[in-house]
Amino acid sequence: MTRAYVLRRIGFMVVVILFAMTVNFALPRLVPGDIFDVLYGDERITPETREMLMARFGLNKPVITQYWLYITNTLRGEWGRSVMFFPTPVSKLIWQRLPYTLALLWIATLITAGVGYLLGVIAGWRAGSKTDSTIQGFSLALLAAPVFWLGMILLFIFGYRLDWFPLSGAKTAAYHASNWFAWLFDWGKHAFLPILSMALHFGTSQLIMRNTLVSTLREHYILTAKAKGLSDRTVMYKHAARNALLPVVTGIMMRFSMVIAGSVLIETVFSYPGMGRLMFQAVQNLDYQMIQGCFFMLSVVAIATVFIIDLVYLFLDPRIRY
Amino acid sequence: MFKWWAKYRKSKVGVAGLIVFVLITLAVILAPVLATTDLEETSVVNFEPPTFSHHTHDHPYRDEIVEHGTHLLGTNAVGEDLWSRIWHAGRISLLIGVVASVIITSTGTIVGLVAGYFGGIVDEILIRFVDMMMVLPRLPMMILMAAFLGPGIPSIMFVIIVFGWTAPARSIRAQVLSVKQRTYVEKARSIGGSKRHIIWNHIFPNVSGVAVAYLILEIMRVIMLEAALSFLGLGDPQTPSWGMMLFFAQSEGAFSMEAWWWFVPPGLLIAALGASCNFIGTTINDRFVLKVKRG
Repeated sequence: MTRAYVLRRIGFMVVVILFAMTVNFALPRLVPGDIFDVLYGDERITPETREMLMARFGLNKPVITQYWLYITNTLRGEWGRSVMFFPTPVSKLIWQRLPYTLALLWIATLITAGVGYLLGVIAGWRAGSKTDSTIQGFSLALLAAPVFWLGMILLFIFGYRLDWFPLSGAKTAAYHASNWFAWLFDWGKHAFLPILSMALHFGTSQLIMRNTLVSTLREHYILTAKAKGLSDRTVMYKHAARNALLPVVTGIMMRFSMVIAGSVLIETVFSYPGMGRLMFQAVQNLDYQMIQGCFFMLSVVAIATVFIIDLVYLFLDPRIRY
Repeated sequence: MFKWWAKYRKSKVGVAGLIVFVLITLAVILAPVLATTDLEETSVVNFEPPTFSHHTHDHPYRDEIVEHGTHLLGTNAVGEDLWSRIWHAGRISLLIGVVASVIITSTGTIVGLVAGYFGGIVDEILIRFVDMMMVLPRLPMMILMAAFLGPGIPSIMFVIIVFGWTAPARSIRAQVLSVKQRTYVEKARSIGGSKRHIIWNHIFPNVSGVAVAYLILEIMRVIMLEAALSFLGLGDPQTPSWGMMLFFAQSEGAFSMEAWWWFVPPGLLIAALGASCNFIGTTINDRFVLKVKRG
C-alpha cells in the first residue's frame, strides 16, 4: 500500500515537472511578438535576417517538434547559453550556485519550523494568556513586514553600522580555508544574516502549531494523561505537542514556495551568489534563457523538497497507510 | 449593517486594525495635500537626513538644510523630498493591492462556487491544477512571466492576478462542499429551486464571510508581492510604489551612504498596512465565519 502511495507521488512529481517545462516553453510563445522583437525592437532587423534567425534557432519548425526538442534538451541539461555570461552554458552557472541556495533554503526552513514549533507550544499551552497574546502579536507583526525589508534592516544594523558580519558574498574573496572547520566558519559568517532574515518569518508555523495544539488539548487522552498525575511538561511535550506536529509539517510543505520567494529576495539584498541573485541579475539584463533555467531548477528543488516531506510525513504518522 | 458593526466592535485588535487601515488610506488619498513639494521638484541637497534626525548637525550641507528645512523624511540621491514621495507611492501600492485583490477574490469565488456546487470534471481539473500550482515556486514563475511581458505595473498586476485566484477558489470550494450538505439547500432543491437561485440565494450568502475575510487578507499579500516584484526591478521607475522606493534605496546605495531613511519608512508602511489587514481579516474570520465566542 505504501509503495502504491510513493509511486503515485512520483507520478505527481513527473507531471508537475512536465508542467513547469511547458510553462517555460509556452510563455515566450504566448507573449505578443516574437523573441527578436523583444531583443532588438521591430525596426532593427530586416525580414530576411529574421527568417534566417528563425531557421537558425529552429523556430520555423512545427510547434510540436519544437516542444519535443525543448523537453529532450531540458532533460539532457541543455538549457541554452547565458547572455550576461556569454558563452557559459546556463546549466553550468546554475549548478555552481545551487548548493548555496539549497543550504540557505533548507536551514532557514528547519529553523523556521523549529522556532515556530516551540513558540507555538508555549503560546498554545497557555492560550488566552498574556504570553500567548505577546507571542501572537510578535509573529503577526514580523509576518506583515516584507522579508527582504527585514533583511535590509539587519544588513544595515549588523553589517554596516556594527560591522559584525560581512556585507556581501558567500565566502571571503581570496581566502583559502586551511581546514573544513575554518571553511564552515567563513561560510556561516556570510550566511548568518540571510538565514536570520528568512527565519524571522516563523509566524506561519507558530500560528499553525498554536491552533492545532489548542484543539488537541481538548482531546480525551490529554485529560487521561493529566488524571494519571503526569507533570505538565510531560503532558505538553510527550502527549500534546507530538500529536500536533503533523500540521506543522504540512505547513512547511505548503509554505516552501514562499521560502523560495524569500531566498530570491534575500540573496538580492545580501548579494549572495545563489540562484535567486542569478535570477535577479538575469532580469536586469533580460537574459531570458537564464531566467527560464533558474525557474526550472527552483521548480525541481521545490518538487523534490515536497516529495521528501511527503515521505517524512509517512514515517511520522503511523496512522497513515495509503 | 449596524448589527455587524456592533459585533465587530467587540474585537480590540479588529478595531485597531481598522483605524490604522483607514488612516493610511486617508493619508494616501490626501497625498497631494500632505505633500510639501511637487513630485518632480528636487532640492539642492541630496542625501539629506530627516529633519528630526540628529545627523543634521554634522551634515556637510548643514546650512542649506537649515534654510530649506522642510524635508520631513529627508531627500534621496537626486534631492527629491521623500515625505511627499512616500504618500504618492502609497497610492500606487494601495491601488494595485485593492484592485488586484477584488479581481482575485471575485474570480476565485465564482470558480469555487461553480466547482464546489457542480463537482465533476470542472472540480477535478481545478483541484489538480491548484495542487500543481501549490508546489511550483510562485515568485520565480511570476518573475519569468513578468520578464516576458516587459516590466511595468500592468504586467505586475497581471501576474499577481493570474497566479492569485487559485487559493481563494480552493477555500471557497471547500466551504461550498460543506454548505451544500445542509438541509436548507436540500429543501430549496426539493421544492424546485433553480440552480442559479440555490447558488446565489442559499450558498453564496453562506460563503460570503470567507470571501470578505479572504479579500482583506489578500490586500496584504498583493501589496507584499507587488513590493517584491518591484524590488526585483520589474516595476515602473516612472510611477514609484513602496516596493519601487525600496528598489531605488538598494540600487542607489542606501547602505554605504548610511541613508536609512530611504528604506525604513516605506517598509514600515507596508508592514503597518499588512498588519492592519491581517487584524481585520482575522477578526472577520473569527466573528462572522467561525463565530468564536469570546468574553
